[in-house]
Amino acid sequence: VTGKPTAWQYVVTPDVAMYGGLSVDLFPVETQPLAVACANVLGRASFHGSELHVPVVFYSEITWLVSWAIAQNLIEFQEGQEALNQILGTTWEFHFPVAADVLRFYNVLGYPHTRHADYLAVAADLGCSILTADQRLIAFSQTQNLKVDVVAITEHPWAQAGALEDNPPA
Amino acid sequence: MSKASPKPQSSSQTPASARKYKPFAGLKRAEIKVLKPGAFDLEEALRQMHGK
Repeated sequence: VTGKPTAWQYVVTPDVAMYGGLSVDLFPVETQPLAVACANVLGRASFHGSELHVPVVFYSEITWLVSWAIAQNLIEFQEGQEALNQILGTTWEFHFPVAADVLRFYNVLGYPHTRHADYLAVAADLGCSILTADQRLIAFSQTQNLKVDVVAITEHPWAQAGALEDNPPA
Repeated sequence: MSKASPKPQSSSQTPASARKYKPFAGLKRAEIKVLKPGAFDLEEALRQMHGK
């Protein structure tokens, strides 16, 4: 038995799940194309049978972000519960990254820009890319030698409009 | 004689060949009622989440 090619596996950051999982009109007009791109990628990842990986911290980050939207009166509590069920109720593959690996990325990123370390540690361990809409992480990847492939979600072929079967993984 | 410490366990350390293949099931957009359209600044929320 051989493992699946890494092109079929991605680590995703919480912004991708939030942009792709919540109503587009929640977001400012300028970020709505990003929300559409995230939904396109998630839809094609599902269609093409990809595995999407996240560290366990993803669970609490998504919960925190939804609670923030409730606290800001952007959505009602029950709507938030429904959103949370939608986002967390799918087949993300959760990982417990090795603390020493996370610490290594903390050291590279430097305090206080450490929120990406768990994601980088999982991607490094699996040898797959990170798909993200997070501009800070994208910028870090361009200036630091992270040794992890960071892909801006809008640059991925699956972000484009089109049929689900378009652009199968190489 | 000292023994090497075992490497901490991680689900992501399981060899790919041994892991059960679990394709992503897709994420349906939650079509929820929005109280303040266009007001969710996700970048700001992410910054606040980590207190920076």
